[in-house]
Amino acid sequence: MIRQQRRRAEAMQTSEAGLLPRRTWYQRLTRLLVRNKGISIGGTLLVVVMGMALLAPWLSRLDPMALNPRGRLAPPGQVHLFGTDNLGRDVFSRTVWGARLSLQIGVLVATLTALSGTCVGLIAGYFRRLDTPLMRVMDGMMAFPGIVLAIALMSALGPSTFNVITALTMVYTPHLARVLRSLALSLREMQFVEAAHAQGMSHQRVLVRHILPGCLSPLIVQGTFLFAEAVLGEASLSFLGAGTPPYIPSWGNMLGESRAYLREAPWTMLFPGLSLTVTVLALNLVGDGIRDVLDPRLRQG
Amino acid sequence: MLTYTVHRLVLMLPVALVVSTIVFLLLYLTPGDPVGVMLGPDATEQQKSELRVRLGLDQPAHVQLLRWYGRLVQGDLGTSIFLHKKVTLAFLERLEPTLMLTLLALTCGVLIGLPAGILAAKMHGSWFDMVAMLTAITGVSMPTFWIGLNLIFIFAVTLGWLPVAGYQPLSRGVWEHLRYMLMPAFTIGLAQSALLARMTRSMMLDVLSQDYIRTARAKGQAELWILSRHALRNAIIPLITTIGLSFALLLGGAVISEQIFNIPGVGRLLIQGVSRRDYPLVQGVLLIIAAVYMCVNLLVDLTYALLDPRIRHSD
Repeated sequence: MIRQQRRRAEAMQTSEAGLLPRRTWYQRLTRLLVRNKGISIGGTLLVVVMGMALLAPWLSRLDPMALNPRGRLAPPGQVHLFGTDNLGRDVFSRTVWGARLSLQIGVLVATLTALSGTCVGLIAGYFRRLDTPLMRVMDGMMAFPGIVLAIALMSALGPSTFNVITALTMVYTPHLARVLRSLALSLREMQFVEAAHAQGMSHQRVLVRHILPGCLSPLIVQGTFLFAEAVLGEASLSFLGAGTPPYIPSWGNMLGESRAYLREAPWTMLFPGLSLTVTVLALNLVGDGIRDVLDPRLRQG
Repeated sequence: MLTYTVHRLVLMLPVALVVSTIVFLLLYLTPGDPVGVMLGPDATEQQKSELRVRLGLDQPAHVQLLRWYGRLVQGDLGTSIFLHKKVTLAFLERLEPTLMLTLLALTCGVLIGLPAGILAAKMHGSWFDMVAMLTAITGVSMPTFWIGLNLIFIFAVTLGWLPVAGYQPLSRGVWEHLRYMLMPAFTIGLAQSALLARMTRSMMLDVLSQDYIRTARAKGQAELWILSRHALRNAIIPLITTIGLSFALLLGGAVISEQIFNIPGVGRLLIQGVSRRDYPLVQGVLLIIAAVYMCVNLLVDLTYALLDPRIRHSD
């Protein structure tokens, strides 16, 4: 409280003196975020996609799953803004509902992977004895190309949205675990960790209080990229027919079905693909931006 | 170098053990009875028990696992249920398209990605740098299969220059082969070149800010010489790792590309196995893909050590 008041007083003094205005940490953070082009552009795009996902039931008056064999492959028009697909379903409402599914899966996979990857990585990096066995298992999982392992897991688990989330989480966990393990390895040797041990702190407490906070900023950056990766992963799985069940409006499913109708109905390919690209692009831009902001070496002026 | 190679080979053994165990466990992830899933609802009890005996599923789990290892050591990956032939044979029959596809895609990715990254670093802050990096981040964000669909729409459906899909083997002539492979390879190569361009640029920027580059410039050396002899040589080592790591992207891309363009390669074999629930086939193909990927990584590490003596002698 006192520090804050003092800081405010200082800020007032300096601004009265006509020097550079002092800012609170919150103002500094917002300034950094808005100044970063990637974050502002990516963030805006992301807000649009999120708005689409949240307002899906109000944006689209038409049922995304309603079949209409007579009105199949209709070009974009007044009733069907983005046209209809091979079964006469409205492409606009399917695209809008697809945003909802993509973001849901993306957020869930990123969060779950962050949890499991952090657990495995920190334990492997902190406890020497568990390092080798844990990391060999992770190495084994990383010996498969990601999408191939995901396909194999989906073939074993069976097609459902829940299983897509499970499979993608299992595929991405080793990658995150590796990053966090190397962070934990270097943090463990720090003097403040030694000091904590000397004070008689338990391992659990040291891990949560001293090691975990040091991993937070890389974790945020990795989490954003994981989000992007998961959205792409779900779409790829669904495109290959190994993801969400075909009747569910997902961008990957829509693109998979559009392949046979490129000549008659290119709009069935255009809109879901565009939404997918914009979403992933937005997340990558934000991820790049956050990485630059959090890394003081890259920060300028 | 020999000690290092042997050391790396020994390190691969536990990973290989884990990989084969993961592939074995896949069958156990299947909810319910895997034999019932494989044969479908119409199968009789006798058919089911026959297949169970054939796959060794009537044995206790630890016996199954040991038998699995034993078979793998002998190089026997099992027999496909639907194709009625050895998985290794089925794999070899489908190898040519996938091999050509990955090689062409790699060439494509390196030929576009490296020069773009070097030029962007050289002209850091210019309009070229900005356009190249915007294209690259869009390229990284675009799903491979959407790139492929767009290419089909533009070059096959609208312009009619290239065939929509399909495959012609190399034996039918190089030109005929390339006509069919151009779009699939470009689809994967584009995504890879975007990744490579970003990496190349940041590596080159790192190297170009070093003191010895300034010295070389002060000596009055030609810019092209500085770039190729001083800068690229040092930037290339981490780039080889990136290319090696992006091999996973290539293999994954091949699976998707083969599906879009109807190419009868290994990826399509895997997808067919998945959709028919042909577990021995899926397991075998998975193992081979993992083995190939591990070997590529080993080669990358060895090249790395060959180029940089510090790595060889560190352990």
